[in-house]
This record gives sequence, structure tokens and C-alpha cells, in this order.
Amino acid sequence: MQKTLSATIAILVGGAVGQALLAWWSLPVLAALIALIFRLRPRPALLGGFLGGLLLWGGYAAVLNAQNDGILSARIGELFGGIGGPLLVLITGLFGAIFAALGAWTGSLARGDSGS
Amino acid sequence: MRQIRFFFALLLTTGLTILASLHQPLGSPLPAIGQFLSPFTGFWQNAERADKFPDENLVFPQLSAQSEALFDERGVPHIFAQSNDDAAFIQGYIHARDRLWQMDISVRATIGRLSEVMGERTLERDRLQRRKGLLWGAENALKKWMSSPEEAAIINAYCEGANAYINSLSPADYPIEFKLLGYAPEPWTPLHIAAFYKSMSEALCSRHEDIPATNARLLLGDSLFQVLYPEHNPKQSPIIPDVVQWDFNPLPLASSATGDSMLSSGATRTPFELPSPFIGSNNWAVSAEKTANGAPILCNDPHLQLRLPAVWYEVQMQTPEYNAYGVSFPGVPGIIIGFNKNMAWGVTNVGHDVLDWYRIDWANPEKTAYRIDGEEKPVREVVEVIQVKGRDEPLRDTVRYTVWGPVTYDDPEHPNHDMAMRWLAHDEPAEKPFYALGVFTRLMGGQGLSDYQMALRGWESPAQNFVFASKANDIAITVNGKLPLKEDQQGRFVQDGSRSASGWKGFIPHEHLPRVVNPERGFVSSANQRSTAPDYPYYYSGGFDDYRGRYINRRLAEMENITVEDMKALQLDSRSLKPEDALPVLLQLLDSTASELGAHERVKTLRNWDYNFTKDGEAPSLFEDWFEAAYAQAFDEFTVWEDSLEVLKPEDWRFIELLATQPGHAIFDHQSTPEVETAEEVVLMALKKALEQPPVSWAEHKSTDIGHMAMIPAFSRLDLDVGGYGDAPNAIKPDHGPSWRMVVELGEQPNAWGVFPGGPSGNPGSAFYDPMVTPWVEGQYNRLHLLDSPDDPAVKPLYRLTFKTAE
Repeated sequence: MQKTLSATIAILVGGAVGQALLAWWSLPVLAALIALIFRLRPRPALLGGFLGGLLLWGGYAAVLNAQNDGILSARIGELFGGIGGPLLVLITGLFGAIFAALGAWTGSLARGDSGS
Repeated sequence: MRQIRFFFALLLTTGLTILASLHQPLGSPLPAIGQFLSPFTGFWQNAERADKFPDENLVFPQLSAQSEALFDERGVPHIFAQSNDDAAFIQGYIHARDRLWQMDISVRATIGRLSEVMGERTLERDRLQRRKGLLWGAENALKKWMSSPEEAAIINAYCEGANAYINSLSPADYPIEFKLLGYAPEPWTPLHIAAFYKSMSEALCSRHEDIPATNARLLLGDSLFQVLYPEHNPKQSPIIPDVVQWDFNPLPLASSATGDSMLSSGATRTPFELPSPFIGSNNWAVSAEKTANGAPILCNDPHLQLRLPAVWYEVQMQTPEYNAYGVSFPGVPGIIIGFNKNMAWGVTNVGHDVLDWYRIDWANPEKTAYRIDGEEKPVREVVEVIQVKGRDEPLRDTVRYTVWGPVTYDDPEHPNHDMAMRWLAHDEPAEKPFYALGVFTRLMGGQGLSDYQMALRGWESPAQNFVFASKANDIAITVNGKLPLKEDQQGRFVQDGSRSASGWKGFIPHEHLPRVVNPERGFVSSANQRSTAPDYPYYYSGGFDDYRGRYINRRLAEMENITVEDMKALQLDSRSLKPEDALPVLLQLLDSTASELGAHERVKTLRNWDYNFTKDGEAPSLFEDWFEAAYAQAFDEFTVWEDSLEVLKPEDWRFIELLATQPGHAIFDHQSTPEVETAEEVVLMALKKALEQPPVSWAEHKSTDIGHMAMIPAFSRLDLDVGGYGDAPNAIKPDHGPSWRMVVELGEQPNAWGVFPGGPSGNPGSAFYDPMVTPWVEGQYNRLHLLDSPDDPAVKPLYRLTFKTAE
């Protein structure tokens, strides 16, 4: 559990530093690397990646949305079929969560020696 | 087993990642969704802070001295610079910061480069823009502009400022439309500025009726044509009051029997849509004798396309040479409509026809040469290369240039219809000490009448009615620009391009342009009506307003002790002379049929109507439906022709006049019935049709939208609850209308008010994107603060940008 949490925090910190400079798909790559480094097994990797991605993308989107008084998310939500701003924050978070989870899972499976 | 799982996971993750990184994946309209959703690079980055506006220090060694821009509560920048070039640099920087995508897309749309970023769907449009020679016109203008050191310095400084901003951007900072469409901004160049000017020429002076008028004359015969299309409306109230005497000797015109050279055969379709006839504007100035405060007042409301981001950008610019406030076009330097402490100026469009079509007589089937006065001349072939997103190979299109201009239309299916476009806005400007940009520099720094008169010498196209008022209580208006010298009827119809004598005879000398200074009546005004009474010694035709100008002149003549509030009320006045002229005639014809519909409840509301197009009224809706139906019934011949041809339709005022004076005219006979109908039957049939529509408020009937430039509904303001009418001063149409309302009283200190339907920012994620739409709908104005210094206590700055030359 502690390893999972550490991985989550590592994704958060690494993402906060790197995501602004690198392409968005650096997120699954980062998660994979962290899973490898932390020697996570597949399930904790999935969980840690999911949480890390969710908090990183969802959290940051929530902050930006709050500072913006939700002006833009209301308009983009309308563009994507009339969903509200808060839902858009959630979707953003889930998107980050899924890709970080996938990355971390792939990373956890890359180690051939243990875990099964 | 584990390896298989790994490869499965790797494949799944990589596959989904690639899918989410593709622009328009699997043919969907979605942007690259991973990048777009990422709060680090995607749309969330466009969610501007609405709670804090920190000051910023910026360093640009290009500047000559430290400068400052403060942003007031409404987000309007007030620029304080030590030189005109520095001011242009900062204006370029701020325009790009607030309106970059609008700047980019406007120019792409003008010169035919949309397909580079939009793909196939805009290809035909791009092709047409190229064939219309917009880029050629821009290059011609720029050649001259850059030869003037003053002009070149401003242009270069503005571009440097815009590019300083553009170069500071990472993809995460791009305006949201770039992210949605998946492309990157490019540097802003002098050619972009010239191209933007050509977009204004395209919107304002590319109207042409030669082909539909030729068709109408062919189909109707000359005598009926003359009845239906008289050139002068006897009720017209021209811009230059008819008491003005022309104090010049007109240039003699060698007659070339143009009438004979006009086509007598070859009806055809126009190669491109006519620009919207809705484009019009009002401006006027009243002298101190007519105002309550004893200070002249100038007003202007240009009616352009209503869209978001708005066409205008409000700004104050101060340098040692000027201190002016007004509205600018994002993408070009200077203030177009505005005021300083000494004077104010504004513009409306001049409707003179400056685009004519010439039929080409090809010398060979390959169209490499054409005949003129019996001599063969080679065409200049220009291969337009249009890059198309999603295509490996660009589209190559050969455009043939003749002495007249580009052969816009050479559809191989209609070999006889090839026509060249002679358009004033293609021309290289005549040699002058300064050009378009210098005009506005001089107006911004103008002290009074002579500066205004001097400034206008630099302006060529699109011709504008420049209105003026000064603190010294001079008022003036000039129909200003380069206008072709034509003989009678020239350019009304398609002309024979095989004779050099069909060409324009030169240009009206600047000194002979219609103008008036301090007329006795105490006001000057324009609303796109004819420039002059018929006694003006030069022939001109074109598209002219028939109602707003008359109404405004009538009201201004009546008014005394005028206040700023009175002037706002006149800009917001939705009463129209069109129903005032038409409705009594319609009702009288209806009553003479003795139909019971004359007593219909809804007709009663029409009888009591004050011709005011208020948003809640139902009478305006019924009037409009009735009038439109009557017009369509009367000119039912045209609907048959219109399937295959563009045919010019008579003007509304002439239709009303015929209803009133010749109700038995053959034009009122309905083609599909054996009986012979008169105006009475037409009016009755039309009313029945109009009454089939359920009663609706005028706002709903008219349905005004301010659409986003990329037609994204979520970024638009739709179905506004607003009144107004195209033929009333408050000319709000479905998608055109007063794009800026300004009232300036030139007292000791200018007392200025203004509003436009939008906001400073072009970012839909900004609190400053559209805050003025609702006040505009409600007829409110903002106080315009012309500050003396960056520390002027008249405004409370929201934040400041300090532009330093070094760290």
C-alpha cells in the first residue's frame, strides 16, 4: 500500500514538473517508469497510476477551473454535448487516470522476474 | 505468460495513446483529444484567471524607450509610449495577445489559405479568393506603403510587436481555436496587414451588380428595365446637401459610346456571391449651435458583421505626437474611428461601384492571349498553389491576368462567359507622401479641420464618408477615396473587354470629391445613401441606402439643444421610414379591395403602429412578412429566372413607388394565373400569406446572432432579445449591425461614450470575451476615458504591462 501511495505521489510530482514541458503522452511513459522503479506489481500499479493520473489531471483542471470561475469549462462542456464544467473536470481527471494506469500497468509487467 | 501480458499491455497503452494523439481521429471532428484535454497543454490552459490580474514586466530591446500599457476595469488598454513606432509595437503585441487567432483566420480567409488548416472543405472558397486576386491587391498596396519610410516604420514596428508575442508562445499558450483546429500560429508580416486591408475592401467595396443587371435588362427589355431600375430616388436626401455648389471645373470626358459596347447577349451567373447588402453605417456631427452644451458632437456606428471575437478592438494610444482613443482592427496598427482632445472622426462606407466586369475575347482556344482593339495580347498566367491539409499534393490553379484584371471566371463549360474583374482595390496606390496608415496617424494627432483635410489625401480604398468635428466647432464630411471616372451608365452592365475604350476614364481628382464644411443646417451626416444630388458633374452608380439617411437627416434638422443622451437615442432609434412609406400604401390598397381582412385584429395593430421595430412588437413582424410576400408576388417572374441566373431585383423604394403610383402596372400581374392581377390583389394575397404565420415578437422573427468566426455555437451569442431594423438608424439585422457605437462631445474635455458587442479578449475562456454584448443589446454605453498619463485618476487600472528596453 505504501508503495502504491509513493508511486501515486511520484506521478503527481513528476507530472507536475514534466507535463508542462513534454507532450501529454509523457504521462503514461512516466507512470510506466515509476512502476518499474518502484517495482510495483500489476494491481498496485494500476491503482497507483489511476490515482496519480486522476489527481494530477483532475486536480490541476479543478484548480484552473476555479480560478477561471468556470467560464471556459461551461463553453467547452457545451461543445462536447452539453456537459457541465464540473463533469468536464471529472472527465479530464479520468482521462489522465486511465492513461497513467495503463502506463503503470505496462511498466509493472515489463519486469520479467517477479510479481506473478 | 507474463511476456504475453506485457506485450498486450504495451500494445493497448501505445495504441490508445496514439489514437488520442491524432487530430480528427477516425474521421471524427475531434481535436487530438489527449493534448486537448491535458490541463498542462490543452484547453484548460486557456482558462484565464478571472480572479487576479498581476502586473507584468516585459523586456524588448526593439523599443526606443520604456513604455507602459494599463488596462482599465473593462480590460481596455491605454498605451503610453515615447514614439509612434513604440506605440505600434505595443499595439501589435497586445492585439496578438488578445486576438491572435482572429487575426490569423481573417487573413487566411481573405487570401485563400484556409485549406492549409481546414482541409478540403474550404478548397473551393480558397480557389475563388485566389481568382479574385486579393493577394495581388495586397501586394500592390504594400509595394507603395513600404516605399514610404513613415508607413514602413509603423508597419514593421507593429509586426515586430505582434511577433514578439507570437514567439513567446509555447503550444500550451496558443489560442483555443488553434488547439481545436490543430495548427500553429505563423509570424505576422507586413503582407498580413495589407491583406487585412483588402479584406475590408472586399467587405465594403466589392459589391457589383453588372451581371445581374445585364441579365435583368436582357430578360425584361430596356424600356421595362428603365421603369423598374431608376438610378435616383426622388425622395433621397444625399450626404452632401443639394444646396452645396460645386466649385470646380469638371474634367472633360471623351465619349466612347460605352452604351454600344455593353453586352447585348450572354446572360450568365456571377462567379461569386455578392457581398452582403446589409453592410452600412451611420455617422454624423452636429455643430455647437445645435447642442445644449455649446460643444459639437460627433457620432458613428459602423454596421459590420456581428461576430465573436468582435471586429473592433478598443484602445487609447498616447505618444508625444498624439493622444487618441477609439477602435482599431486587430491585425493592423492605428485607431480607425476615434477622437482626441481637439477633434473626432468616423467613417461610413461609400457605395460607389468600383468593381466592373469585362468580357474577354480570347485569341486562341488555349486562352493564352486575348484581343483588344484588334490586337492580340498575351495573358499573364499565375499559378496559384493551394496547400490542402490531408492532401499530399497541393492544388494548382492557373489564373489568367489581363489588362483589366484577373479572369476570375473561366468555367470551361461556358466558354463565352469568361470575364475579367476590374477592381479598384487591386490597384497600386498613386504616389503620395503617405498612405492608409499615415491617414490614421494624422487623424489621431489632428488639431483641427486642416489636419483632417490633409490626412484624407492619403486614403484610397475602400472609399469612406469621413465625418469630422472639432473642439473649434468645425464640422465636415468628405466622400473620400479613389473613385473611377466613368461616363454615363458605365459599369452598370457587363462591358466589352475587347475595346480599350470600355475602360475607366481615369479617377475623380481629390479636389473634386463631394464634401461639405460647416453647412448652414448645422450638421453633416451619412448613412450610405447617394453622395450627392444628381447635379454632381461626375457619373456614379452603386448600392445606396434609401431610408436611414433620410430619417437621420430629418431628425437632425428637427433637433435643437442636442445632448449626448439625444445622440445615443438617435443611434438606438429603431423607427424606419420604410414602413412609413410603404404601410399607408399597402393599407390603402388593402382597403380598396374591401376585404374583411382589413378589420383583422393583427391588421389593426399595424394601423396603430409607430414604425418602431421594438423587440417585443408583433406589428414589425407582420409588416415585414407582408411586405416581403407582396414583393415576391409582384416580382414572381424573377423566381423562375433565379433558378438559372442571377437577376437584379428592383429596389424596395421603387416597388413602393410603383404600388402607390401605378397599381395597374403589368409587373403586378401574377404569371401563374389566367386572370390579370393588379397591385390590390397582390397586396391582398400577400397579406393572407403573411397572416398564415403565427404572431411572433420582432426579436424572435429577426433572430439576431453574434456567431463565433469558426461557427462554434458554444463560443457564440445566439438569439439575442433585441430590436432594430436594417432600414432604421439602429440597424440590427440577423447577423449584421452596429459593430461600434460612439458618441463624442468635444467640450473642454471630450465627453465620450461607446460600446461594441464583444469584449477586448478573443479568448472564450476569458471574462473579457463578451462582457459588452448584454449592455449593447440593452442600449447602454461605456464612458470612454482619454487619459492624460498612466497615473490619471480617471480610471482604476486592473493591471499594468511595463515594456522595458533592458532588464
